[in-house]
Amino acid sequence: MTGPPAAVEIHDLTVSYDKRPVLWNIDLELPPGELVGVIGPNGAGKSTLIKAALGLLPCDRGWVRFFGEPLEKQRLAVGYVPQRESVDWDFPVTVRDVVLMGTYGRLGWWRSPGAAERQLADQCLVDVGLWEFRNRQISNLSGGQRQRVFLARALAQQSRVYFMDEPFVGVDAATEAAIVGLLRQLKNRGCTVIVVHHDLQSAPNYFDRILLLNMRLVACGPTAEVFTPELLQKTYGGRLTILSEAADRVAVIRQ
Amino acid sequence: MMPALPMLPGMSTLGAEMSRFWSLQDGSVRSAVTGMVLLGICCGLLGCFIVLRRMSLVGDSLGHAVLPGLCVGFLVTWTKNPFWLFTGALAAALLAGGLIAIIQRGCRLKPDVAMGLVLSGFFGTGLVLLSRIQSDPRGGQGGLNQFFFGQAAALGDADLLLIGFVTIVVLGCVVALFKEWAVFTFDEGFALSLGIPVRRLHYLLMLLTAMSIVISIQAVGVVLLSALLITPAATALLLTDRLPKMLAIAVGVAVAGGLAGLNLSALSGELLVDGWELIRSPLERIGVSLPPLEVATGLPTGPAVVLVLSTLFLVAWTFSPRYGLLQRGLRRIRQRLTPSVPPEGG
Repeated sequence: MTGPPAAVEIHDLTVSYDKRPVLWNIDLELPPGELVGVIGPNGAGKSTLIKAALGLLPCDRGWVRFFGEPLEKQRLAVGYVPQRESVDWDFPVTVRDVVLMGTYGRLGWWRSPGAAERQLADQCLVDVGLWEFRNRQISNLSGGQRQRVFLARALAQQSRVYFMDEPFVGVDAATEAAIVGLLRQLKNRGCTVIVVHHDLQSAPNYFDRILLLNMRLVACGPTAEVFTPELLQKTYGGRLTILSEAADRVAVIRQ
Repeated sequence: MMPALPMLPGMSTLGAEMSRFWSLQDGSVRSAVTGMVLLGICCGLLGCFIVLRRMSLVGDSLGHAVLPGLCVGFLVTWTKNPFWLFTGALAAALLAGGLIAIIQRGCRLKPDVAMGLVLSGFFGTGLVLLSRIQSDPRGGQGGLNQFFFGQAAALGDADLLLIGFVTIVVLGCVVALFKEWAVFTFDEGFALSLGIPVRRLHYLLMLLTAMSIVISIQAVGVVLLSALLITPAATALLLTDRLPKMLAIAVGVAVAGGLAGLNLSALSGELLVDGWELIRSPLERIGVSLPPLEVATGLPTGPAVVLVLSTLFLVAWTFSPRYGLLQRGLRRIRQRLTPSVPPEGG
């Protein structure tokens, strides 16, 4: 291979639950500094793909590399925004406590966060517009605010590659705009952001690169090349009309 | 006009008994108090993580599951040798924990079913062994009965050493790995992505839980053991929104409840009869008749401690400034009184 190593390289990845494969032979490379949308129908293995890449799920076969190295050597370069429902929001922590958790990776064992970590966490809170909520217990937040707490925590990780699991689901317009702004900001810093996304309408506006997934990798490439009616139909199967409408709209936008 | 309460003969001795207890001149009282303080620290801390990880039933299951281990440990020497009892109980607790994990992973049964199965299976086996031991002349006087409801007064030096050791280990683990515990308990997936060995922490938590359950047996008994883990943590969770404070409050509640319960169980039987009379006689005057307490024996430690802890929980549950029943009721009334305002955006 020539040039700088890919931010993310996945080779021949197969993952299964209870011996039933949900992802087959995934092969892809993502260059640094791009926003990547992972798109596919329910049960296509979108979350599974990013969980497997992050080492949260065991892989049957294949490997994942970040900047040419295995995850263990690049842990600090990889950040994660889980689905909001994955945690108990009644947990006795404040907004600031959660964001501070983003600094734990760099701290390593035994050390507790100090002034520098607190300052970083506070800056991330400002960046997502949650500064005035910093001392709130996290259940006293709206869905969009909760999503922004997770984003701030990810920012505090100061990673180069981010995986975000459905950050746009169930958030208000203000938060959606805030997330998009944040994604662009991360891109400008040279970060690669991989986002599991549901909404076909907004996908082509948000992402430089689209990854179409339905248990197998249908396509992965620049949005203009991949977001076509043919490939979308291949990904989603029968429900063609909605899809072609969406793709037509994209064509219009692009002209 | 309320008639003045009759001064019962026992009332004057209550003060005397309490001051004798708290003077700590009695050696067995001293050991019991020391043991209870240590257990309060150990169980208060661990209980928080157990409650937050929704593992409360695991505590209860392991608590009951130690009984056959205790019996086997007893059978090694036919005496209450602390080493064998500890080894047997710990082995049983770990075996039970492992079985729960295997059952729920291997087939379609859910965790609550796995815990129910293991709890009853182990406890039943323990009861069978116990009845065999007690029908044997060598075992009849062994005092294994205390393991049901606990007898803190019988804590020996070896027991205290063991309790002290486990408490130090638990305290060390919680303090040294505090931020790892916090992130692991709050968001397991994120913790894994940080490279925190989540599975190992889970097994460590199970091991520490099993160990603290085993050291609590003599003091509070197998039946009510889990209350020492769960009730203080549950009380603390209603009173604060920060994890470090929750740990501190849980320890405080566990120690206070443990000591008050210990004091309650150290009161003599006559005093309890008199105390019951104090409740019974005014009720009888308004037409509610309750039977008089006739058995003049002291309370075992376990139920006494649980009684105090449950009372503390009830107080927190009712009066907690943010999550209490009273506060929620007031808020609902206030909402009904004020005209509805559209909710804030965002």
